[in-house]
Amino acid sequence: MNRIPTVHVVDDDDAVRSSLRLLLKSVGLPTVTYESARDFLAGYESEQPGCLVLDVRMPGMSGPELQEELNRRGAMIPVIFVTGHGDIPMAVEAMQHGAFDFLQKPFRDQDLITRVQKALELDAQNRAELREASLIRERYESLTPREREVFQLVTDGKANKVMAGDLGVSQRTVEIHRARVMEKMGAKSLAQLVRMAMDLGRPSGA
Amino acid sequence: MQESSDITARDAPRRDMQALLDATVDAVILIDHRGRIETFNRSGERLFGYRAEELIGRNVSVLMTERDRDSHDAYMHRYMSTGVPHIIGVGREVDARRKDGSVFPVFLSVGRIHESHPPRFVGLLHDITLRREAMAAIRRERDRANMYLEMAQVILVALSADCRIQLINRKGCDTLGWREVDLLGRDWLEAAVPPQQREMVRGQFARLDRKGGDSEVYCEHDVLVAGGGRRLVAWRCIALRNLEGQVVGYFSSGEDITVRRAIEQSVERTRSLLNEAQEIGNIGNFEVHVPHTGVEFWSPQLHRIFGLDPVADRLSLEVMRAAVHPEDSAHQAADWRQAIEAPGSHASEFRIVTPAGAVRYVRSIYNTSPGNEGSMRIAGTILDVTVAKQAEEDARVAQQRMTHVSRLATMGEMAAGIAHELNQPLAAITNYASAARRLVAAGQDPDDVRLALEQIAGQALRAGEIIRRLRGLVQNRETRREQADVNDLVAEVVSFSLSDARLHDVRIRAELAADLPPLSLDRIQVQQIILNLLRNAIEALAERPASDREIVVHTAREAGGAVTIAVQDNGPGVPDAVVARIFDPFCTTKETGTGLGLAISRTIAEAHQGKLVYEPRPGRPGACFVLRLPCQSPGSAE
Repeated sequence: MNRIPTVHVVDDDDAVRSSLRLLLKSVGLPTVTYESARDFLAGYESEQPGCLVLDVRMPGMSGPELQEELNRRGAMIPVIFVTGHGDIPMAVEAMQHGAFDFLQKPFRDQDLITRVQKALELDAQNRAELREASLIRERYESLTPREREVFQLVTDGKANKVMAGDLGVSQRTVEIHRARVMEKMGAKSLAQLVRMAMDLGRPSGA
Repeated sequence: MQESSDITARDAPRRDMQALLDATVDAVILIDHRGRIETFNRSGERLFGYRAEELIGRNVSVLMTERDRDSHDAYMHRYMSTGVPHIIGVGREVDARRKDGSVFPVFLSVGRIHESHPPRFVGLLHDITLRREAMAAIRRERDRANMYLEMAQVILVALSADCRIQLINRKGCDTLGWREVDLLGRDWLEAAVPPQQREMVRGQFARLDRKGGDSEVYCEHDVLVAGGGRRLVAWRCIALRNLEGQVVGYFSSGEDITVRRAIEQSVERTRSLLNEAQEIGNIGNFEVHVPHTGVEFWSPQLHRIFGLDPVADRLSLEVMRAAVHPEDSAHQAADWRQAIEAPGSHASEFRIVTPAGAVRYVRSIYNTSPGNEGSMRIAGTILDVTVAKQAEEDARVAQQRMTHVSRLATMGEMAAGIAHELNQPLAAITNYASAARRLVAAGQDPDDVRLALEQIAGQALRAGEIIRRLRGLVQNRETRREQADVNDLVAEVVSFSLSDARLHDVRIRAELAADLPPLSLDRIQVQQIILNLLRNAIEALAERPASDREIVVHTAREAGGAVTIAVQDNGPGVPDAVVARIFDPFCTTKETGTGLGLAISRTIAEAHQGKLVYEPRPGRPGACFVLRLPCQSPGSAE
């Protein structure tokens, strides 16, 4: 699989599609174009980093419908909507549904390129965050049940003495567990451990 | 006899008497008391054809007819016995008989010779044959005159100088309703003239008095009829004058014109109503004969239509022909020729130019029929339709404006789609241009740059084509017929609507028949109909799920030769409650609709001799509108 960030362009208009490809190619951005939303869904793999330049108006599945489908599938690819004249309300709605940005046709090349690059950066960042989150979960899952209890209490801000009382163990034992949790989670500070706890709490909803 | 002896005795008086007897033209006869003739003069001989000797001593009765003979004897006898004379000094007319037996009238005067005893008589017989005849002639003449008077169908009245009725004929009596005896001697004015008109009639008599000679006065006045009522009489009066020229009476002949005047008034009223109607309706009529027979009629209003004065100017075929607008004279003349050649009803429309230079549209309808003398009679009307033509023209302009406005409204509804359609090539051009600039700046791949430039040119053309089509639809222009391929026309308007359809997630499918003949039509107007139908269908489809919105545009040739263009959608169809009114102006089911689209579309269809109907297909959901255009035979196209 190609892990080079790629720009995906979905537009039913041949000329618009091919002009976008040439424009993105001229700034060295790898581009794949699709004639319809279905074509894109058929060819897209979520591991593929990149961004999506998506036409709002298309026969069959429209841009917003594709966005909805992607959201449903949990795909995190940033979407830049390209709208024709008069599609502003629809674009606004798309933004509310998590679109990265939108551009009105015709647009300045730099506007598109800037947005595409930002979208790619966001995607890279998202993917990095996603990778970190899964690492933290991995580490979390390596904790023993007692250690998880300590992790929970520590990140809740409880003092060792309180924890010892809650758990019915000596303060010393609490300190040993706590050191192991810090070690296993790779946390260099309590603050870092607290952020990990928050990260762990967030993706659980996804 | 004593006296006779005395006369005989005296010689000189006897000679004088004889000369007197010979000189007189009358027969003189002396008779004795028994009637025996004593003397018979020369004139007597001439009148009766007897010589005196033949009669002397014979009874005078020999000179009488049988009838007079008896009465003479009776008379003589009566006189002798009573002494009362019946005839002496009086005279009477009797019949006398000549020797040859012929009878002739005489006036007999008888006298008794003075102091004769027994009495002797002298008779003078004056031949009144001529007078009789003259009298008879006069009587006959009078009778005839009376008959004329009585027979005359005019009223004849003779009045005295003080206006008393002296004579009135039967017609006069009949008219007035009185017997002659009731009228004679009465004052004419009182008897026959209504009080209000008496002064006028008196004035007419006074005029006659003044005028003198045998001048005549004409006047009309009513006469009173017995038992009420009036008759209108036209009078001619003359004054009767004596030798000194004094008026001794008046003679009037009158004609009862009550009925004639009523008819005249009715005719005049009819004529004036006709003229009034012609004036109000701005329609004139005429009658002519070709070749010209001298009988012709051109109504006053016809003169006015031609800008002529009904009284001062004279219309004629020549004047009419000369007034025909130069551009119409050829076809007007052709219509006219055809009418003369084929008797029957004909019509012609043309323009005329009045002397003042005004152009008028007229419509003439006329009948031709063989007339007298081998001529053709042409009778017809000419209607000034200028106002109607102007209204028609105004309506046409208004219709055209409405058509245009409606088209613009439809286009307005499609604006988003159109803008989108235009945006695509512009976006592509922008992208290609940007790409080319970057590629050139980076010194990269000349093939890509060339590709970009080619694409820019292509997309610019694409944009231009959209604008060209747009401009065609937006223009306000005169109706223009041209030969057009229906499929081509449909394809163009479908492609134009595609962006609008895409905007609303509607698919448009075209099913075009292969064998359509070219039609003469106004391309833009017919496209407007289809555009409007597509637009309506797209809106109607909003109620369908986005994945199932379809319009099929279908062209076909019907058995009768008509070409149909059907626009079928799979929407909800037109509600039953609205179907009857969908073609009415201002009937709309859309919130923002003008309600004019279908009304104008139908008008356009009708202007093409076609029809636009709502014809949902049995068993298929949705609305279906069918535009049916007749296939004109070559040459019949306008």
